[in-house]
Amino acid sequence: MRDTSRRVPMSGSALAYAFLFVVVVGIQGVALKLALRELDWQMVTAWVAFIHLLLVIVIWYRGDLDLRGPYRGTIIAICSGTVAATALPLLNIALERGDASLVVPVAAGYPAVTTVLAILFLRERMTWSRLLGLMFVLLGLILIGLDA
Amino acid sequence: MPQVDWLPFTVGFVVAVGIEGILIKLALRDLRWTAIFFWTTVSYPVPLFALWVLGDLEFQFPAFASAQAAVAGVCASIGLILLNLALSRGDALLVIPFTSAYPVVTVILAIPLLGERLTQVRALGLASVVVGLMLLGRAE
Repeated sequence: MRDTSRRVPMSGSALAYAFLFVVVVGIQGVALKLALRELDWQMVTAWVAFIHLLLVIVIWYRGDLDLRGPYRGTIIAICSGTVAATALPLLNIALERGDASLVVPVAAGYPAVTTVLAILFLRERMTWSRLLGLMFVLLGLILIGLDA
Repeated sequence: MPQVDWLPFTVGFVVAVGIEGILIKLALRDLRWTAIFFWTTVSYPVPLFALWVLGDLEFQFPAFASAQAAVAGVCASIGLILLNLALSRGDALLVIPFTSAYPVVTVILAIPLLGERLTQVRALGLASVVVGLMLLGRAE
């Protein structure tokens, strides 16, 4: 049996990876906007898709790609991929037309939609923390919308 | 008239990725994250193929802009790996709120690199979104 009594909630390496995530995904918004100054959104979408494809090849080469599982999970994953494939061009079109400092904070509000859907369809609980979080996100979106 | 023609597409993105979050959560009951990443990646070419068939995809390769687009792709890919590494080493309760802060980096970089302005209202809106996301993340 594993001893979990000494487990730290967030190790130093977890914090480092989370910090790097913040920096890397933050840079992504600016890099997309810079690329969109010279390329159209279709071509930028193609580049991002191509890089993802390279990463899948790396994962497969390392032997980490395991596609086994029930059909149900695979079908849901394909649906998820289809939705993601729709979302990526939408973000690029939005960045093509609006400031990155407006589009990215609004686009970052997507967990609010996930939370509402999770409560409606996954029967997750609505807590005070979630309600307050939703209200803050909504307020922020309204403020950013007013600034636009 | 304010320029808000970006808003419908951003709302579309928010709804689509919001739905994606639910679908990923459902799929993770049966599959590993690498399988979900695979299916997402193989789905990307579908709209691109449709655009190509419709004649709306014109291949263009100016070196510097292509490099910038490739950097964006690398950031997206590496970001996903880093998130998984962070989640595998720390509680989602702490990792997710922390990672919600990434728009701050975009906004800070957008000022010198893109010449965008950070108004007080925009900064307040950004802070409100980040606080809200942190609260949503804490509830996970």
